[in-house]
Order: sequence, then structure tokens, then C-alpha cells
Amino acid sequence: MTSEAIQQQLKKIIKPYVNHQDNFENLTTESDFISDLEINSANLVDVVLDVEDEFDIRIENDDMEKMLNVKASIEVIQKKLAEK
Amino acid sequence: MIGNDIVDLAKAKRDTYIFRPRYLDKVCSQEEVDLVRSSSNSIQTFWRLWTMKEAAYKAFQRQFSLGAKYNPFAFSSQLIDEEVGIVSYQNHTLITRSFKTDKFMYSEVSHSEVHNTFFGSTAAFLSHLKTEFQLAFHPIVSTSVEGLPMLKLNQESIPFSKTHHGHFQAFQY
Repeated sequence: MTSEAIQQQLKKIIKPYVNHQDNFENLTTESDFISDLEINSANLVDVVLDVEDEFDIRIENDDMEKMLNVKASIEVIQKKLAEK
Repeated sequence: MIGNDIVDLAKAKRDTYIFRPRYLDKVCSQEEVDLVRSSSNSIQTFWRLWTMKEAAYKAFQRQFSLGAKYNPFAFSSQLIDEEVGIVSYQNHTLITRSFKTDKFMYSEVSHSEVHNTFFGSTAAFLSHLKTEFQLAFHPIVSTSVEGLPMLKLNQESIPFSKTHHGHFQAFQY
């Protein structure tokens, strides 16, 4: 999967948890889940679980802790997809 | 050492379903999962552990200049009684104190130095400090070079920790 395609799918996943709509409309790879999109920390776990379900992958803790922005999340997803 | 965290229980209930499959396993150690599952009020116990770990994280972040990371497993928590808990990070431990109402759960790091806690809006907090420290002006909120919140009183700056969730906000200073 291209990183663009992953980003599109990721955008769908994070949509329900976002609290800053303007930054969400203008999402870039640099967008930070907490400071830009204002996703609350308890919902970051939901993002990880939704990503696992959507891409049919399992994300361990050391990868989960990197998933704080769009770019890092795409990298984790790509790595996990490559391992499948 | 300061660090605090508050959870608006009604908002948490709307936003987060902790019994979603694999949710607890993602944020809790096996011991913590057992504490939550065996509790007569699992949701409250979960948010107690959560706020304890967040409060301790904020304190450790100041001490060790931890970057933004999201690793609930780096911190392990134990409950001593209804109020007191312990959070460990590597070989360091912090005592926490928690209290709850039916509307929110609050935890803060407890330390030998005297610290104060204030519940309310930022404006009310600054007014309160003005009176407490007999200042001519409201204190100024700033950030330290490490990006941590500081209050400028007269000559000195003191660190503070702010937590806000839903309808509730608290300051420790």
C-alpha cells in the first residue's frame, strides 16, 4: 500500500476522535494527534485498536508509543504490513 | 515534584469504552487489569490507575525531561488504599494521592514538599494566587525552556501542573 493510501485510511480512522476540525481538514503527515488534532490520550488507544482492525495487524507497545503523529503512524503501519 | 491529572467521568463514559476488546491490555499491566476486573467499580478503578500514571508521568517528565511519548507500560501502579497509590518508573517511585467525587477522578503526585491544589477556571486560579501571594498583579503564565508550565510571581517563577478534562480543571503548584 502506498503511504498516500494509508494516510487516507488513517484519516477515516481518526475522524471520530478529533477535537480540532480545522486542523483535521488540513491534515498533513506532520499533524500531531495530541497537539494539533486534540485527540485525548484515552482515545489514542482507540486509534491504535482501530488501526489494528482496519489493517489486520497487531501493534506492540514499542510501536504504539511512536504513534503520536500521522507520519510515525504510517511508518508503523507500513512496517507491520510488510511483515505480514 | 508536581504532576496531576483529572478525568471527567461523564465525558470519559461518552468517549471511551474501556471494555472494548484488547483496550485494557493496551494500557494496563496484567496486575492492573486484574485490579480493574476484580473491582466492584471497574470503571472508577480504571480511571484511578490512569490518572495516577498520567500524574506521575508529568512529574517524571519534569525530572528526566522525557519527550512526548506514549508508553503506559513504562509506568506501573499499585493501590495502597482508597487514597494513596504508588507509581513506578524504571527504578523510581512516586506516591500519589487520589480523590473522587461522583463527577470526577483526580490524582496528584504527593511529595514531602508542601504543594497546593486548586480546582477551578484559570482566571479564578490566577486571582486566588494574587491573594495568596499578596501580589500587585495577577501572576503571568509562561513556559520554561523545557516547555513546562511556570507561573511568574513577583521575582520568582514557580512550576505548576494543570489538568483539564470535560467540565473539570485542577492546578497543582
